[in-house]
Amino acid sequence: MALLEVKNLNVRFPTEDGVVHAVRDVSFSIDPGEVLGVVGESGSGKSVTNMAIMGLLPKSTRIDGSILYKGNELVGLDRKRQSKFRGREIGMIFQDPMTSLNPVYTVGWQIAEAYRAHNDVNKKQAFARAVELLDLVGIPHAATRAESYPHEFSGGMRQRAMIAMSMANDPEVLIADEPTTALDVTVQAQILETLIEIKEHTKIAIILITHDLGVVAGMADRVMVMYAGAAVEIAPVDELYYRPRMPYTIGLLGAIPSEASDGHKLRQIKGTTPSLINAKPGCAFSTRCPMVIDRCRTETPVLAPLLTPDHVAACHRQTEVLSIDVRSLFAPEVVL
Amino acid sequence: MADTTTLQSAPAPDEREFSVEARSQWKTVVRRFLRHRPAMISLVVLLLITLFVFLFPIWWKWPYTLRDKTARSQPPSWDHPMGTDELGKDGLGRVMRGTQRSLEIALIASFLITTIGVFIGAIAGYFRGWIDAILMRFTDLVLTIPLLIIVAVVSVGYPQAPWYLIPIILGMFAWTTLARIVRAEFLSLREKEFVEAARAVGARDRRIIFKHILPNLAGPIIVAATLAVAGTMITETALSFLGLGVRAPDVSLGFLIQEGLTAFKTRPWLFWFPSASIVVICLCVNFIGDGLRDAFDPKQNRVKA
Amino acid sequence: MFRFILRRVLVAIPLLFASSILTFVLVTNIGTPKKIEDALARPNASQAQIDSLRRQFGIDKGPVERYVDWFTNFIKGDWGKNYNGLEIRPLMWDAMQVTIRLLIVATVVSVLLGVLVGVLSAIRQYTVFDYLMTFMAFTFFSIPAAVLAGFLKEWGAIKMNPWLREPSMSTPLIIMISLFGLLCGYLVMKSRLKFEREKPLSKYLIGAAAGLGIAVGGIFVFNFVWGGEVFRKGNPKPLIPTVGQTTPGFDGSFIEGLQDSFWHMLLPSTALILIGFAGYSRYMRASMLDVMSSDYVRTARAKGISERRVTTLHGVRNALIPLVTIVALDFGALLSGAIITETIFGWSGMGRFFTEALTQRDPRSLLAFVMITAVSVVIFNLIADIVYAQLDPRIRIG
Repeated sequence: MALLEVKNLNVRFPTEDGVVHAVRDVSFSIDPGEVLGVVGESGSGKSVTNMAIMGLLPKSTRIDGSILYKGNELVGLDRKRQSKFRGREIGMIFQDPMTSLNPVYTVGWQIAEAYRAHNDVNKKQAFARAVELLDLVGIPHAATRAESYPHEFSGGMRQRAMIAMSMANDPEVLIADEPTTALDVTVQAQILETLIEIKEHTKIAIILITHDLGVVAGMADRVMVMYAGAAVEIAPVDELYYRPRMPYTIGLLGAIPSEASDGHKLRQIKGTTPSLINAKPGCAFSTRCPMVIDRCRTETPVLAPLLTPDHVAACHRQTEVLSIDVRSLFAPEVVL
Repeated sequence: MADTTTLQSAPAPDEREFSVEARSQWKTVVRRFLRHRPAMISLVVLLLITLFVFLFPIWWKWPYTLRDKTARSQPPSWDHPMGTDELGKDGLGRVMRGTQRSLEIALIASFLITTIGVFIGAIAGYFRGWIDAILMRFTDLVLTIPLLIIVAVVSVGYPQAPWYLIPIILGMFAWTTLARIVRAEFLSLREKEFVEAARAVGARDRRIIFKHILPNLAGPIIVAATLAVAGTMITETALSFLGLGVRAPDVSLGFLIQEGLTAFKTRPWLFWFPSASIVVICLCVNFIGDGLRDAFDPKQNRVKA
Repeated sequence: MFRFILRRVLVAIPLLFASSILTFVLVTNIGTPKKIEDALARPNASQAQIDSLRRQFGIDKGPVERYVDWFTNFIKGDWGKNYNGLEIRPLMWDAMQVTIRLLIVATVVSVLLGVLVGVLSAIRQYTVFDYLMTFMAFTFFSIPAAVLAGFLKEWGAIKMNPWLREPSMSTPLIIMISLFGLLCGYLVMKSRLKFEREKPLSKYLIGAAAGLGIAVGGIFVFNFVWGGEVFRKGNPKPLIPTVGQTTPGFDGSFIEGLQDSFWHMLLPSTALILIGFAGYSRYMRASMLDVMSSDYVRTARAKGISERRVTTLHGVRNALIPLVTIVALDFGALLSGAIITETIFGWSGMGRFFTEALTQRDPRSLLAFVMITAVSVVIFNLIADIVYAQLDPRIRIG
């Protein structure tokens, strides 16, 4: 049995302009010790999916479908039972470490608070645990730094503190929502290193949300690509890189700068993501897809396996995509 | 945002592109405002009141100074819908005239407050350095004396002053809050890329301030100017209460309220009607200000509960 | 922390010095004192009399000399004599004690009330409670102090007192209390449903019980407690006083004195509290909404701590920080409100001191008054700065 299993998850927000259908029928699962990369543009629903797992969406949100953690349903839990899961079974770290820590409490206090939330210990014991955790994530002089306020930490140190906080109760799943996006490149590598170390020590399952395919390639075992609220391709990481079967995935891969792209402009996917309000039937990517056919505009494709059962893609033409030279799909532009 | 799929070079600062964006932004603001029900109702009520107090006196048989010797100290009746005072002056006529005056005072003062506040805030925030230091210390200095007290002390020196001196005095001392808001915004906006771009193409300071930065502050400034209208009307009332508002025979709402208070027991209607008028107007103005704030707030994403 | 305070004080001193110059400039332009004007109007006024009056008011010398004179004496504690020849300092001192008491009560209660209502409005955004409080705040925001105080004096005391002495339950009153109970019950029910997702029958029962309880309880209180002996006994005078800050020549025990002050303060402070509360509750609501949608509150939720802890320790704690600045900025407005309220309720505090000085165009009284307000505004801001630094560790550097 999978550790965490999401089935047919749908998330809708009521807004002034209409109901935003932010997550559409997303299903996936993750096993212990596995790293699942979730990639997609901003607004593709990758963060919302994980906020739904954590139960952090606003009260007015409508969540349908099922999220099973070790067989326990998380959708529709009341607040009390929800908070038992949060932090203890599933930890989470966020994108911007500059704003994710409360500026008025010391870092140690905030980590201790996470520990005390689920363990019957006194303040002193909890603080000792906080120091231990800070030391674990590689903060020098942890005992004194624990007394510091967040504004006295650098960005990288704050993100380490966030990791320490999320690990306070040895959760089984860690959701890392763009953990390196807001950091300098050198610091990014260190943070990823820390995450890898943690994974190797604890056999924790990590859901790594990012729009950086390089990060995914370095860490993930499997990848889920999301577009306009739906999962469009799920595959083991190598499969996805070498045999992508969804034009959108190919477009994403074409947008990574690499040595090979020297002298060429990065390929870009023309157009923008469609509105999530009153979406039309058919494939959401059909408005931008270079391979679009009439069927794409009328019939929504579902995730389907082709050669191996662990690689699924939502595309009517996935057989053809496989045989096409991926590089030629998105018109290459030559730099003048 | 297509930050994941594209790595475009930043578009050149094209004036046309800016204006297109600006126009669609104004459209959203107007649409949001039209949807704000309390603000829309307030706007209609306020317009009706304004039209009424400026136009109806033309046909109304009792001008505000005329004494009806047959009806002194009369409670509201068909002939005098808002009663009369001890000299037989008509309540409705006086309330209409008072509302006119109060609105005029509030609009002039609000205009001055906005102009001075924006000017000082913009200069201080844009140029920084010693100009900023001097202007902000000056602002701090004005703020050490409460507005009502400073305005009262200044007004007492001009016992024969015409009515328009009141909004001028109010405007001279009430700009401090707006200046601080504008300065803070300028300090952050002047570091933005589009300002640097404008500077790079050689735009002059004046052009950067008025054409590039100020339009971005339209929201907070319009809101502050609106709320200043209500604030000024209330300060005018306080000033009149201290006997320093408009001089008889002219009347303002504050003047009428002060008059009403002195004879509350015998002629309460002289208190109620001008009071109701000022409260309704200020309430409308405040709701309009609230609606504008909601309409301009870019973070605004009202989720229906 | 000590160095922080020291630095703030050192900034405040030149500010106050500049403020004294501004004060002096303003007051030199108030025109001829009324007494001199009256003397000039008399047909047989001699130049010698006028000159002696000018000397008495201290306006017989050049402005610079006068400023230096006034300033040095003011610092030494000699504030001069007013138009009546009375020493200003003891007068001012008495007036201040009366007003400060009112200001402290009004500030404390309105801040507490504003914080409470603002927080509840924010965490129950767009509920009936929120809309009701928003409308209330806007209304009190739109009422001039003179109107509110006049209204309270008339309806809270003059119209109320005869009824308080001979209370009776009229049918409209019973209906009103029942409707109020109904509304309360509805709100209770509504808010409980908002807080928890499921809607068991018990929530409706609690709401109904609360409504019924308030209605029946209210009628009981009015009918038996007020209508009975409780208030009539030993209180032959009007229950809620409308003039002065204490009963003149009051002679009673300390506790009775407190009671007397309480009843005198009830309506004036209510006026100030309602006006202050309106502003604070709006600011607090906005600040709280801002904080509750911040990243660190999301982090706090992700830790799995209780929602109560999230709202108080992370929400309210942080939302209070900007409110401190607002309270400090509003001090001047509150003082202005107090001047008006005091005058309407016939208190002999700063309000009377100021209005008298204004009508007499008495330069020395006005100088003392404006300077004292400036000093208190600066001190109040200093306190606010210190509180702010206490609340926000980011400020405490240096």
